[in-house]
Amino acid sequence: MTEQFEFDDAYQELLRLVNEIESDNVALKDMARKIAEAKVLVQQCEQQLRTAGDAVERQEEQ
Amino acid sequence: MEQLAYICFMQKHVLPLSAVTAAIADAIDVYFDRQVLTVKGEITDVKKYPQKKWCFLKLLEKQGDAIQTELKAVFWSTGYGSIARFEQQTGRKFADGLEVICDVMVKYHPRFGLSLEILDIDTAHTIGNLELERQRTIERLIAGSSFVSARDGELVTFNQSLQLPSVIKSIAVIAPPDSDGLRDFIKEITQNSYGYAFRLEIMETQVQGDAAAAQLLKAIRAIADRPGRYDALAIVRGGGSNTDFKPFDHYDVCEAIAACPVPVFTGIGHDRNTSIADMMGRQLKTPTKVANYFVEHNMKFEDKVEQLYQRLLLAVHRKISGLKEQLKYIDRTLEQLHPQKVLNKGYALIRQEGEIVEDISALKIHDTIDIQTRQHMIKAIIKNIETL
Repeated sequence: MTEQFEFDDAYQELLRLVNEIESDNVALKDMARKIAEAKVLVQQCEQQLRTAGDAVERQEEQ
Repeated sequence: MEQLAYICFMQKHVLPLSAVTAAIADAIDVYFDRQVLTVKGEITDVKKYPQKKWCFLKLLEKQGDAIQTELKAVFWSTGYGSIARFEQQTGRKFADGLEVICDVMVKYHPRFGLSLEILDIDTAHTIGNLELERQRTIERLIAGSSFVSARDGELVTFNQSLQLPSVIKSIAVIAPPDSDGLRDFIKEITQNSYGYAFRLEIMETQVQGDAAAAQLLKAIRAIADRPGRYDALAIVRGGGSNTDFKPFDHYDVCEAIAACPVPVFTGIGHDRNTSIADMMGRQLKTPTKVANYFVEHNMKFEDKVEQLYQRLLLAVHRKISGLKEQLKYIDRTLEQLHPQKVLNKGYALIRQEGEIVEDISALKIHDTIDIQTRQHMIKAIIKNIETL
């Protein structure tokens, strides 16, 4: 059983990065890193949406 | 008839059976005179022969559970079309247990005996009965189930109030085995144009006939017992001439859907009728529409992510543009402050030994200085210094 990718967590993290950048709280030197982090999150979402079912087999709730 | 009895009595003559059946046939002809009668009865032992357009059955009259009267009945090709019409209009399969009103002619055949030839079925009567039955089930659900209530004339269920996850990945599917509906659903969802992948768990059940309600119930409960495993439950069927919706109006099946902790989507393939099961979850009519719904749901999430990323890029673009503007402003300011700008206005710079003289008190009479104007450098000796 693989760990399930959490789309909501990825979305929230992306939203946090956007809000941070929009609020001008990010130093110019950190900007490239933040953009790269956001890009990775977007790519993960795109990839996981297209990942075969087995890979998202989830933990059954007890 | 009297003549036949007289002959028998007088001569103790053994008659051929055909003489008796002929007499019966005559009596029936005389009595009923090929009149069309309207009768009410419950149908049973229905056997259809679609190729020949024949259907054989029995009509019953019951008192409670006890059969009081039973007669064979038959549709020949002239009346056979009324079965399809009946199924289409009522949304119910013409099957055992239905009470029907129909137009009949009494027929007698020397070999096959007495029967009723059915010419037409009164669909209005059956629709009325079914609707009454449905209404009773709905009222029972509202009154007896804590998962169903009525609000402003609409049914509201626990299942309908469930939030869908942002992305639907794991879907339980209840469908009849090897059905067009299941094939449509799988094709649509696995070959979606966005390339989204889903994890499907298919539970095959009958959706018509006596065992259907029990099988549906078992499957729904099995899914409800493992809610964390599924994002949604699709109940699909459809295609062909399937028109029996009775299991989807079954109280226990409907309550199980209403109480199911996994969001239920129905695509049970009927454009005009809505079953009670449809009202318990989210009704999308056809298997294809259910599959498309899941694909579009995930597409909306991907769009949201993409929009967020675009927002981020726009914010970065704005920030960089702002910084560029600031740099331009600084550049302009520096340009304005450049000594050459001052010289251009007619002022001059005084240097001594290459250094700009900032304090005149450091100069003395006879010192040699350089005077820089806009276009010239003048070497001069100080003759006099006066304070203005």
